[in-house]
Amino acid sequence: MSGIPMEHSLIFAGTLFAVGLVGLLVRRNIFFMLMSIQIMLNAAGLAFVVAGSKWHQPDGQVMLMFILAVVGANLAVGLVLVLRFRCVFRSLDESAAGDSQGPC
Amino acid sequence: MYAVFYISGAVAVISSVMVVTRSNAVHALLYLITSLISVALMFFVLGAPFVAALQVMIYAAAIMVLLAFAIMLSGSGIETQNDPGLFRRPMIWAGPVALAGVLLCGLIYAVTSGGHTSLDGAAVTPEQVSGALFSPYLLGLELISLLLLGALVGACRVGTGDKNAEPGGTEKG
Amino acid sequence: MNSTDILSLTPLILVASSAFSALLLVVFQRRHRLTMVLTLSGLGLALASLAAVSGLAPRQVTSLLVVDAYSLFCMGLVFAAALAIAAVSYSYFLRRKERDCEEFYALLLIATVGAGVLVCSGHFASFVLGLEILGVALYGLAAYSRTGTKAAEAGVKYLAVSAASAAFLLFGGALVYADMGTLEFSRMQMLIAEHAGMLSVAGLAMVITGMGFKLGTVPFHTGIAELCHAAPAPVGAYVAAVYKGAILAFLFRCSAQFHLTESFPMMVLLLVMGGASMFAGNVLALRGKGMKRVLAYLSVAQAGCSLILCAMSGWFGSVALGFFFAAYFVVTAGGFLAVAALSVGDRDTDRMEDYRSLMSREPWIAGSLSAVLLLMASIPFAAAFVQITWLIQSDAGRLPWWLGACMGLGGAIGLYGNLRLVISMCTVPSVETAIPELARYAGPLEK
Repeated sequence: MSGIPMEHSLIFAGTLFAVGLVGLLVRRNIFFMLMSIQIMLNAAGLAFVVAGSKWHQPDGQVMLMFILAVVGANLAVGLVLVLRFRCVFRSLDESAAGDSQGPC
Repeated sequence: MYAVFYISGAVAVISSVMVVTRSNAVHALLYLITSLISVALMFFVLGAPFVAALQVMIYAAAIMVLLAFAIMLSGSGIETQNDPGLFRRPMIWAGPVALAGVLLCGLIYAVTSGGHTSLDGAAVTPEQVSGALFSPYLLGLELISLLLLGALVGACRVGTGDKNAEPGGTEKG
Repeated sequence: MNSTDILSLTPLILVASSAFSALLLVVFQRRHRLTMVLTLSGLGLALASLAAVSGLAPRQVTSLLVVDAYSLFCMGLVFAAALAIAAVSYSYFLRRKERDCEEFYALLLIATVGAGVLVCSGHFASFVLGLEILGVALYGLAAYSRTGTKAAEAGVKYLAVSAASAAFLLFGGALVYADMGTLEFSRMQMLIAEHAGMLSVAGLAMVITGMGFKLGTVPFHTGIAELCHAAPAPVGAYVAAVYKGAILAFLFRCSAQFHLTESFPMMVLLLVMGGASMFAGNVLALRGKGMKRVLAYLSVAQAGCSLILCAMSGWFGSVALGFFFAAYFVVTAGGFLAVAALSVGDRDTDRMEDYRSLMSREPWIAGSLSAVLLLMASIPFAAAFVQITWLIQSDAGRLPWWLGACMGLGGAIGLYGNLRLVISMCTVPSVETAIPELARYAGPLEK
């Protein structure tokens, strides 16, 4: 019984990474940029698990857990920064100011 | 079993494309959660049940809740005039798609130039993973606790704005 | 992991404990001076313990960290730079009458632990973790001043760049892991000779690109410049010296010890990135739009020079590398710390006019800043000199001649810019009011 070719799995991961990269470059709203970065990091995690599965080692899964922790820490501080940026500029675009509702 | 892998891979890619192309942040967030859960399914087929569960519990649930709170608090839930449909113009997409396409082609070439490797989906059990976490990667766990502490202190400091200036607190020296 | 392993990690443990103690102190009572003393003594103890630990080196602590002479030396540089930055930031915050600055020291110490882990790392996981600890602590440090609007904007831009670079690094690392089956650099070194397929080359290229994002090489140089501009001056010093310096120390270890960049595509990538950054950094520093930006661009040029040296690391001895690193830390931290020492009130002393004829107002600071700038300008020439001597001694022809020309040219532009700054600092004030344009280039004139 043949298994899944590793090439296909890595190509899936690469496609996800490319989609995230496109989103990061095109979208100007900071939340969409953060979500695109999440897609890219998730693709990296998938690549790690694929690699770990190829070599039958737990290291790939351990790296994914580290990636989860890194993502959590980055988002925790980053979102607070974004909300403060919004308080200061009343905008989520990287350039000019606009009007938004919601608490500051 | 392997059909599941390809189907969930396709779902992951399609929902990621939807994340990038929506104008409503909450819709994009929901598509992102779909993408994360389908990647978790791919993990399960690849023989990593432990991290499949972790991906759903931590990434798709906890971290996305964080993102959801931030989006709701900032009032981006409805289509605002901050993102004035700039991204809808096709010319904006041309450059980044070309760049990402080149990268993807390079990756595909690099991946397929090696030998043909096939993953049999033999499970790397939770016992093996926790064994790895407790001996070689023990330092990594301690470093993660330090990382989270740094994030906590930074978030507390950045989060308390000017209106929260404390009248107390002796400041000697 | 036995007790000797834990003993060899004493410097890092000491710095981490002082971070915890600083936070505990905040819980009970906010005392700025006591926190500063705690920070400085913690870093000082860690520096002393480096000497004590050197008897235990070289040692592999689990598979994640490698404690040897090189990592002890780099840890010493990192701790010393953090010590200087903490000392200067005490008076900086006092003069700015900043409230609640005790967490600054805790974040500084946590970031220093991250930098220490980064220079010791022998495994991809500890590399990523050390880098992320540094990065996350820097988010908090960069946005530390509450009243700065540009601080929030710079923080958000830095967040996007930092997270994207982490994604590139991790994806590249996954590709290398898929090809080699190990994440330890020492095992990769053994495998790379016969095994390096296209996949690991692609992975290494992505890892180096991710590090380029973080270092601020071309084309990502504006990120670092804006970050250093918007953050408080001591944080700018930390970014330029410790953050970039630790990454460069790790990169040097990868190329000199583990020979991961020996292959031709890697060398080309490093040389192109390094050369372009040297040019861009020095040329953009000439525009002079604010002292902190100028210093940030100069540090980008320094990083470019380091990348070029990294690509040729096979040709450098360890003593030369040690001198280069010590000079790098002194030079990058010293510039920003001078800015910090001069800053009074709400805004950093950032405009170029503030530095004209500084020698007459603040001779010590102007003197040390001039020494730092001149040292910075001479580093590329010193490195090119060492390279040429190696070329003469060893078998010639392996080193392209245009490399020395590249570094010489970049160094010449840097020398011009730095000399201009030094001269403007040393002019007598009477000239400035009379003939402002001439004052930028001339020496003292009679009225």
